[in-house]
Amino acid sequence: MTRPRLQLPPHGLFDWAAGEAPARRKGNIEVIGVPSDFGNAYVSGARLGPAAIRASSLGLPQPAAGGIDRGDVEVFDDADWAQIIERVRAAVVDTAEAGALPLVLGGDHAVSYAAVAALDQAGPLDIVWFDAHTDFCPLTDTGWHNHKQVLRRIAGLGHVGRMLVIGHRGLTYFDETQQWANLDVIGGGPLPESWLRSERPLYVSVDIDSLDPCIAPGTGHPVPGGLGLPALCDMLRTLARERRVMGADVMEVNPLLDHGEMTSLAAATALAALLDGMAARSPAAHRTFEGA
Amino acid sequence: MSVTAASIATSKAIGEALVLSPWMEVEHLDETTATIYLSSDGTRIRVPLPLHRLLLKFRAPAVPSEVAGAGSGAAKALDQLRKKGFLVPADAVPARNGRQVTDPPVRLFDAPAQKLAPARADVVVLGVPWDFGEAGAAGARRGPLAIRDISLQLLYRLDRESGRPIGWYDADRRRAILAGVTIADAGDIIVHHGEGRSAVFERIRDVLDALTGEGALPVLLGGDSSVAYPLIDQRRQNGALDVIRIGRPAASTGAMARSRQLLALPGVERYAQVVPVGFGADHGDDPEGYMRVPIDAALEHALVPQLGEGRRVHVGIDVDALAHAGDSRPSFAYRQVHALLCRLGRAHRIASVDLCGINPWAPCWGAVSMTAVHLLLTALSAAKDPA
Repeated sequence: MTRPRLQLPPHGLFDWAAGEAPARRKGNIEVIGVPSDFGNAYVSGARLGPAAIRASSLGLPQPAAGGIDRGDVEVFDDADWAQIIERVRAAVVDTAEAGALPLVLGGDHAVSYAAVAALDQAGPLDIVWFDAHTDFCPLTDTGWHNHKQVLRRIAGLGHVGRMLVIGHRGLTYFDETQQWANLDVIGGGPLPESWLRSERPLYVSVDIDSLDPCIAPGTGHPVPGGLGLPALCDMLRTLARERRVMGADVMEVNPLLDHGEMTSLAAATALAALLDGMAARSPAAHRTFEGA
Repeated sequence: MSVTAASIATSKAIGEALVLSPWMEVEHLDETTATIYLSSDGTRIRVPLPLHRLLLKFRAPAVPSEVAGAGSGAAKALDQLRKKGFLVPADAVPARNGRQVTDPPVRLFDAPAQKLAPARADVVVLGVPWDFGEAGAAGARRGPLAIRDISLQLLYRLDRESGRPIGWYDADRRRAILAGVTIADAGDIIVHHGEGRSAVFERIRDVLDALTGEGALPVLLGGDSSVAYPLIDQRRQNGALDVIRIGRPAASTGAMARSRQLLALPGVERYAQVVPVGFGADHGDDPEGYMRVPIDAALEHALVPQLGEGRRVHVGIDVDALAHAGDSRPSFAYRQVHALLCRLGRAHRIASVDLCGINPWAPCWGAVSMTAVHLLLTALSAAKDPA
């Protein structure tokens, strides 16, 4: 398979090296940026998220786990949305097949579908989805991916097991908690014990709108009354320490709506917490597909 | 065939001289049809071109039967236009003193438009693009338009079969809200260049009189918080009213004077200013009936007992006082205001609501406005389906 061409960023996430994957990749964390907001018809700007998160990460201490930043999937070469989804999927497959762990920077949340779809060899795979919304809108009338129903699409992937949405709140059209037999929805912590005691691999997706808009205003669909950053970081650290994280992403950072880089900094801080948790877990237990 | 009262009235109407309404305007005209409307209240109709030409013959007073022939189809069509207000009696032409409201490009929650007539909806919305009342509110005149745009993320929808509003679901309270509660949007009050406050506020009162004749609960979108004055003035005329303002304490002499002016209005008995934690309680020189209550105390015990139970209240929310990123001033957390509104709804009868200080030029507008929309729906739920 031809390795997807990625565009190099000016600097890597957390100032990690940016560029081609090294010869030995097993257990590496590999950053893949997706500067696309095709999945959000309401407000654009999440395409600027990867660059903003990288820039904010430079001001933070290096997390305990290291990695490499492979750059951004090409988006604005006149490609259509379906091609971009496929490019993301191919980039994540390339990472996963080498035994490395994808860390995807969005972009709008629809991008997460491609990342989860690419991890089909790791299944059954559980999903923890930090989000103010359930992202489970009906699929009627849409033959394309969008950020409002991305988790519903993910639920339909054959290798996806249980799903947990954390941070759901506010006003919705109906009670969204009863959507799918394998879907649990909670407003906030603590993490359900059953979600910490499983040998299944885990994918962690962080929509930055899970945070309170006072902390993370730079996102397209803020909902008041959200999580605090310490609470989010605690949960990410715990999940990564207790579960075998096979991939992760942070999505929906929109610098056009941000205030003083608060949101991109919160996103980088959350990623650092996740990486700290992964480093605290036995490397052999979480960094490869072995035993999946 | 019996002669009905309606047919007598129609015959009589056809026999009198009529003239074009001074509000009649043309929106579209082609080879076959014309779309005409009344700029006074937004009534629109598409008519065949010949009927439009016939209508124009009433630029000067004329009798319909003489213009169209008694009993003809054209005469009946003209009578329909008379009933809709496009033709008015020649001896009773209303003075044209300018439009009172405009049609916004989008409506709050995409709810139906409301003409300038008594609303049959349970809730009627009126925007007031006015920000001359407070120095810090510059830009808030764009608030009504901007909040409507944001509100489209939470659409008002009707059940396909019953035609009744579906309402929304409050995930925090785990309950449906506003199911069956109808909402209509009457647009924005017109504010002319250079027009004085008294004229604009008088227009607000007149429009509210027209809209609330059937009992609809008015919601006013500001604008700065001064625009609540004509709403409260209008509401207190229907019965004793307490004012509950959720915002920072008045910072200008004008704002301070307004609370005194409101308390001086007959029927306004109490004015409770709920302030963020960090502001003190009452000053010694506050007027009788005025109370200042920090929101934590309001939630704990103070506000409701001080007001008493079952009061008729106006609730105002200053969006500018909601917590947002980068604002170090004392402000309200969303969950505080949400809880207070729910409590007010259980304890009192909410007669009107204003959402003021909506300013799209303020920092973090997207986040603040979404918080404001959530709180507005919570306030409406507190008014219409408290639980």
